[in-house]
Amino acid sequence: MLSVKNLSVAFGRGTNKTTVVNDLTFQIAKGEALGLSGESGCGKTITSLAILQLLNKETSAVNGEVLFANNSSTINLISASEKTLQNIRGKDIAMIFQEPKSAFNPVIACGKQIAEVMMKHEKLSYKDAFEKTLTLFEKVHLSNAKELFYRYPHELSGGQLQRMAIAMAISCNPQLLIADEPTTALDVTTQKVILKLLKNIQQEYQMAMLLISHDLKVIEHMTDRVLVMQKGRIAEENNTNEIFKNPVSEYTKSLIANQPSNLNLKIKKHQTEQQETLLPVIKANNLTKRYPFHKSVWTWKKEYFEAVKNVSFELLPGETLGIAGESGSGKSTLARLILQLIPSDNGEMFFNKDLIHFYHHKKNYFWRKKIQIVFQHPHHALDPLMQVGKSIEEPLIAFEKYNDGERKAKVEEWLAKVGLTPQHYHRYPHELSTGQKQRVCIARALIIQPDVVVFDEAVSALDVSVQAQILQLIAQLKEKTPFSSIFISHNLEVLRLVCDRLLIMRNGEIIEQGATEKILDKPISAYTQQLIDSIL
Amino acid sequence: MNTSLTKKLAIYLLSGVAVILASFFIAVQMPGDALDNLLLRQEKVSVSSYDYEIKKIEMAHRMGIDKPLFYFRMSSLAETGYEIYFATETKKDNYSKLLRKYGNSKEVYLFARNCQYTDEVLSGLNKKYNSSAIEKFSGYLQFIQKNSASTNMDSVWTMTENDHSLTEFRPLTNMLKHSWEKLAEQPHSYRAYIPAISFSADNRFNDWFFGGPLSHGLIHLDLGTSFFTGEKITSLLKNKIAWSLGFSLTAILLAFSIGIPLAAWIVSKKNKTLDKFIRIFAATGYAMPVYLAGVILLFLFSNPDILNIFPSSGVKPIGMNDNVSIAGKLWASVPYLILPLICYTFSLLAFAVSTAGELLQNQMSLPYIVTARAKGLDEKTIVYKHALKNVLPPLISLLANIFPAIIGGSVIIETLFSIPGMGNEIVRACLSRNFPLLSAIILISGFATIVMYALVDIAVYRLDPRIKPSAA
Repeated sequence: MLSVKNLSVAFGRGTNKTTVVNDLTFQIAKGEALGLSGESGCGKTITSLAILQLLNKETSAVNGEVLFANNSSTINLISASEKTLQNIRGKDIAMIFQEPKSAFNPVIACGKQIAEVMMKHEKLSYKDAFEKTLTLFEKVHLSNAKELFYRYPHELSGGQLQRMAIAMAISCNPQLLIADEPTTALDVTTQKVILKLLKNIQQEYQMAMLLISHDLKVIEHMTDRVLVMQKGRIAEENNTNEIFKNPVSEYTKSLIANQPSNLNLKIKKHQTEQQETLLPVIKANNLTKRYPFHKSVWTWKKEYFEAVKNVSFELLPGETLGIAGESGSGKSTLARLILQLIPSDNGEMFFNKDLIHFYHHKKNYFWRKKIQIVFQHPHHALDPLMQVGKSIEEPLIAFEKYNDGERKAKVEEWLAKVGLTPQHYHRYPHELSTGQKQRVCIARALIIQPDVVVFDEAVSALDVSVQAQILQLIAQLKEKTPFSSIFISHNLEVLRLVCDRLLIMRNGEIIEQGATEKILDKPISAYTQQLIDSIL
Repeated sequence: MNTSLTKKLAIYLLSGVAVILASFFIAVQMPGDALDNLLLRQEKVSVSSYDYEIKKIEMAHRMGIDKPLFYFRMSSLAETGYEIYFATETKKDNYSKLLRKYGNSKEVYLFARNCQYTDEVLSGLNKKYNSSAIEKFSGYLQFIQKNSASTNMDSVWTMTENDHSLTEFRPLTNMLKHSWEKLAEQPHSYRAYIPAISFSADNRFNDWFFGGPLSHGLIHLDLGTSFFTGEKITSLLKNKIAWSLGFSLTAILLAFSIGIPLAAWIVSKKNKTLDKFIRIFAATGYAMPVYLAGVILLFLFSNPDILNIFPSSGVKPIGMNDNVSIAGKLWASVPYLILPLICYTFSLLAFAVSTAGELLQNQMSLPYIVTARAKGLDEKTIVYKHALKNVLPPLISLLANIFPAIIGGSVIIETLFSIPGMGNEIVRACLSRNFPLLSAIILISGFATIVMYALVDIAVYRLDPRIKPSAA
């Protein structure tokens, strides 16, 4: 039905020209679900935008053929006029985007944005479109359809919005649905439900589907055939079952091997009874953090939103503690409370029996040297106008009394330790890849040899292969200079890989804690069970 | 009602109060001693005249200037409770020195009152007899009023008692001596070190705001009289406000109703040359100063050597018949209004086009626009229906920020085209240091700006659903 021949996309002009998609050829048959996978920057999204001609024509050059077989005729989308394209977009080929929150216009009611599609393509009146939108809402399992019609995007959750995006996509019975990372921005439990819905609807409507995802699990779950892309070219193409059983290309092999469930790391410490009697490095006692807000103008009384409620735990020396939970469960707030980067409203935080608190005098910031943090997005955590080496040496300036030469030598030693070269000292963050930036962040955290390192979603934003490298790096470093660590993640597979013990958080509370294997194999609470079930 | 909006409106209310206070404090300031000026003009008394001070005190009382400035005053305990007005600074100084030295405010007050009373009696006597004894005694009296805090008063009393020429004033001297002894008897100098807040309901602000001897008060929309002409400021400014506000509001309306659709049209057409052309126009319009534009316009269209289409100054034909209907009057004024209106509008228009264009261009790369394109909508719908709705709130907020600049710009335009507006009046008030008029102008333009800000916030609140409380 859709056949792409020799598609290539290039950005820029002359010497600055970079080819992002190179000589891509593939077909999608009627009713088939095709998966497109690969790491970030391999041109997956660009391909999908190029099919619908949604790329900016002034900055990009699209060559090749995209033949779309309509009921009667075959159209080349690349040479088609804007008018023809507008009739195909949304009607014959519909699209679902990654970030549901930003895919909807923030100042127009969601329902109206969906009705708009039908008013344009099926020439329905507003009233008919309204009725049909409500039936579509029921189809994607949105209850209270009439009320949701008039809601604005900021009033809805990511899951609800993605359901609406699906409703919008299927509103004109398209022949092809392009889903660009439809669940990447969603919580794990929501992800599973949305994928199921997508699959059911695809089968019910007999649509062809092009599913783009970096997550091989999603691809395995949803598709009949898979294309693996690497640097704008096809690395491998095969049936889904075939490709996961016997991958042919090296690239696919490494992708599969780097999945957290397939990794093997020597990071865990095998607990013995002797270690149980050790004193904890970190002890949290009924930690609470609340944020005030006014419910109404006319009352002085403040209401409180409790981000973290009465959390208590201990971290033993050398141990790795995992904190798991969905977005909004208070994981990151807890990480900041552990370092006392924000003041806690109740409860105490102990470091080696010493009470630590945000409001302690600056001279008493002894724990700043002992507890360090690595954040999720390395490019946000580094000063963009500061050379990488300068960023790494900042903690040394703050805590150690080295002279310039010693400091530089120390930084270069650590650059080597995290797998970079001394030449990286003078680079700026934008000149490094995401993985390299995260290595810099890790070096910055470890250079003063802290006792505890908090990894706040430190590998979540990374590609699988980079993720595997970073995890291995952490394991290596831990072997050389032992430190305790707290690993915060929404990904249970990563946590299973690295953690000795696990905390499960929900709405700011710890609902379960214990040894990793015990929790993941025999969960007590229903919520933990639900989290485990949502692993694909 | 939303919390953030209510907070903002409350802040505007507070700043309204601040504007009122600021304009009051400017209004009560007078260049030099205005009372002196008025006295010289009205009463025809010479400055050296004997009863000048008494006249001045009377006049101050008549105009309510002897009242305290505001409801509250921070002072020491010694200074509270009794208010007295002095015509000269030395007497005032002496009074406060006495207060600090003796602290018993009631006695000090009575002594000062007795001195003033004696002054009055002497001035009455002086009109009838004009003897050297009266001159001498009043000399003593002046000395007492000016120096009683710093000299040994006992010697003064013995001197007056021993002076035989002053025997006929013995009762007056005794009265003064008696009140002085009472004052000096029990000094409470510690009272000068205790801070206190004195409250008086009858004060100058109260008169200025709620009506008093000088005006009907701000709440009756009476801003007082101009010091130089004696005209009512309200009637003086009424027509001028109408001209200025009319011009600036029309200019804003024109600029935005032309500028925003123009910007949207350019963005939806994706025409590069057109875009460049409009950008050059906008940059020129924005960069060119108003006076230069005005001069160029006058040079081109009001010049007998080039084009003489529009009259060069004024707002209506000279010697227009007053019997003509309002529509007729307006029609006759139209040629006079076109050049100033262009002058008012063009920089605003340039601003509107360039800002709206830039904001729209930024929106066009956002994901929701890509979604809208993927829905199959045409570019016109995307720009006008989707992007413009997101751009309007920030555009309107910017409008509030440029409104004060419009008032400032009106000064030049109105002077250039001789429009009888507020801008002209600002210049005149500044040059002649006419503080009451200046304070009235500050009050009006300040309030216009605050009202504009509030309206803009309400409009943004109506337009952007994200600021409203959610329906949940």
